[in-house]
Amino acid sequence: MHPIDDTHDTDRTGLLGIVQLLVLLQGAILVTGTIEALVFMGFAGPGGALTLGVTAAAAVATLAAAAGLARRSRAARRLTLVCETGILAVAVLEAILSTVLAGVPLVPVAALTRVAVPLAVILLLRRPDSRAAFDRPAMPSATTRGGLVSTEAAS
Amino acid sequence: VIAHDPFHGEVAGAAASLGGATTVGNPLYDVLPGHLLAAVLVLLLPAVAWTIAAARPRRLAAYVDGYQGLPPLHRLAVWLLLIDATVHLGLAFGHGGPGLRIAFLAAAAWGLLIVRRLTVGRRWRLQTALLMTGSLVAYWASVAGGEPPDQVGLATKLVEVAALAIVLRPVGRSSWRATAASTTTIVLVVVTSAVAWGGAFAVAGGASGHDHGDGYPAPASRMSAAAHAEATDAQADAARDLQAATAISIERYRDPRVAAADGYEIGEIVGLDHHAGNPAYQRDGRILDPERPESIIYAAGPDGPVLLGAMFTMEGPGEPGPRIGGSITTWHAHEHVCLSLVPPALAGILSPLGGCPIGSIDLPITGEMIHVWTAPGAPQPFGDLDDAWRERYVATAP
Repeated sequence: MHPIDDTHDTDRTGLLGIVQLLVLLQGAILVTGTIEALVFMGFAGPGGALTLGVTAAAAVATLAAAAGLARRSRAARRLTLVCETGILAVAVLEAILSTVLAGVPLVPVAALTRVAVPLAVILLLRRPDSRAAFDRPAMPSATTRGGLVSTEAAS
Repeated sequence: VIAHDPFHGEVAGAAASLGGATTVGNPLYDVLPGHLLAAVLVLLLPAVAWTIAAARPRRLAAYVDGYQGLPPLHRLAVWLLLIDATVHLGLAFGHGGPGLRIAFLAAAAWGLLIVRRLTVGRRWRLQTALLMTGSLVAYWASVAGGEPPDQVGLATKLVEVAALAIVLRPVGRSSWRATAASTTTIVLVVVTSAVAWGGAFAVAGGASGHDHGDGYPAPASRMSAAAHAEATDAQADAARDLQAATAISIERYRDPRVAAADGYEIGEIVGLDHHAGNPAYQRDGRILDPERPESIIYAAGPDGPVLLGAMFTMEGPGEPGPRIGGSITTWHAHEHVCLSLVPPALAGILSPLGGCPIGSIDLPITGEMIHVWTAPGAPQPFGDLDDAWRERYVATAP
């Protein structure tokens, strides 16, 4: 294997590698949302303090989940499923309300970050092979190799 | 005091720059016309890829086989690179002058070459990192230079950040490199959003108002594009009557306690644009009734609250207000504002990355609303009221 070739590093490049990437992006977006809420509160007063706190907590939880997924932590898998399901549920609710009440669909970036990404994460984490990867003892490091993540990649 | 007749032409000029559409919003939540081709091409990409995979033309068979032998994360990298190349291809034919067109074509070609390298097992990470970083920085620079950020641009930048995150992930047991890669990804996302906010407000001519410098309203505002023609005498009279009747009607609310007794939710008056709404008037079936304005507007003055005017609001989302004064009575709406549910409050504006703060929902569009400024000497009776004028007025108001 080439020094920078991770093609056969199935833990990193398997389906769970995609999940880690997407959850990291979700965490980054929530960090951004926390900063935006903080700035907005500076202009508009403390009315959004609760949503700011919840967004900050969600950002921390999502980033912790991204790190936990790399260790194949079952708690991280559950936390990720809860967070992503919540994001997806709110997005679907918003999409229905805005389409029915105002005739306005979700903006494309919202459809990407709040529907496509959470849906992909949930579907990938619920696959039997992904679930099996979390049934083994937790891994010590984010980059430990050798676990079976994708039968496709390992074949 | 402005020495002109505010009922003739002042507001019409602002409306004229909005163009021919009924309403105009900030491009942050829209797709710019020059980016439409890129969006369409990306939507066609899966069909093209499926056709190639099914037909397996001889010249592409090696790449199809190579793709099918890749692990999932690298397949995702292929797709991200293909999307990025497709967007740049679309931009080359739908956007910009010759120099920009060459740059877009070069970026598209480079992306396709990297896909080729990836599918045949050659090194691809460094080139991907260079291309994605270059594209991100170029976008930040172009937005800082006046290019309006829109949905195609923002979605593409997220694709590029994702591709960059794939190649930044370390191989081996380096935990500090993993942390550095994750931190870099977060920083790239934060900076992209910050640049988008800055660009969106810049093309609107500043963060404070609804009005627009380059023809766009500020983010979260949607302006009515009134007719270009100057208002007729009848329309000017109707506008003048509305303002006069409103001024007489709300004079009693100079003392906010009187307004509170009539049902207005005064709260703590801070800043120069405090709107006190009256829930009982929001859905009372009365439109533009000077006796029952939906909101009263105050500013915080050195000696207490200062009455500035009133705001009339339509009831349903997206519902247009009557243009009784033609181009003089400039209505606006708000789009993509975030409303928290507990407690009910304005929690923000929809992020360029598509989300509201957790616990709030995106209100895609409000009913139209119109400000009626009754403060003596207000430079214009409707629309947006200049902050500098407000400050001067509030400082000297009785």
